[in-house]
Amino acid sequence: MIETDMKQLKKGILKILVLKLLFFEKKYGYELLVEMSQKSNGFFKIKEGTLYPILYKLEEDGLVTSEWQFPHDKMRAKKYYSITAEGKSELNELITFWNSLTANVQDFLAEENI
Amino acid sequence: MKNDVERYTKEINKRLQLPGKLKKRILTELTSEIYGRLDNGENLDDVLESIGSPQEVIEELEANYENESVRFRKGNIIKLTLLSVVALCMAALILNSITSVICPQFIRPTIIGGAHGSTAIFVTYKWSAKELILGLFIKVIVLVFSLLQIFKVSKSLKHKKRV
Repeated sequence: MIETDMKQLKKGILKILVLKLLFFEKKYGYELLVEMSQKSNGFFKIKEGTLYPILYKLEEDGLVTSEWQFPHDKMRAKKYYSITAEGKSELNELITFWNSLTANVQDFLAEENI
Repeated sequence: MKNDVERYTKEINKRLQLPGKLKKRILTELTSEIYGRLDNGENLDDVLESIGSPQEVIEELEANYENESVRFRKGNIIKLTLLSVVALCMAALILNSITSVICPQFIRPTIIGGAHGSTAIFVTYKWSAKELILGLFIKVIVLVFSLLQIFKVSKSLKHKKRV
């Protein structure tokens, strides 16, 4: 039960993390998985079955775009995802909300009677 | 190696209960990722292990597309019901056609029209053997097609149960 709750909490944050990873440059799926795991010290080690639905939803909502491209010195095309202007603005709003959420939850949990 | 990748993606394709377009998109991207990692010198077993077994991939995707997956399953059940009705109708019509070829005396002529009065006149039409066989042929084709579709849809629903 607790594992499901933890998974749900983590899942809600993934959208912010994916947008953040795309903020400065376009990336392909596997690149996103590796970076997410590295930057979170393995805390957010997700798989393709979780990443793809997030990316497709972000694209459907107009927050990212995708295109097949050949990376330098490679023969095989990869699907690159880029953040849109709308995606950047939504990310900023989400970060503000996240900061307020964590501050409030931390205060709440720090109360002596809990 | 190519065969192993194909077997892996085919397995996912066969059992994944998501709309065709979405499934195609996922599999294209997944295949591109696998080959991209192999090009970078990674070992196939390591790549597939890190992505997960076909069953794990299916479970994860279907959990993330829960609503779509349920809707797709419902759609398949409706499709199965409609196909069964078509197949039953065709079977009944085929039986009727066979009877009319083998025992034409049991089949009443089709009444096209007529006048009812003190002297009744009715115009009737009886199917020729050629027309009956052509009709029978078409019905058999529809029946075989429906049965094949029923088999395909029920197989995919059965796979889902096993996952």
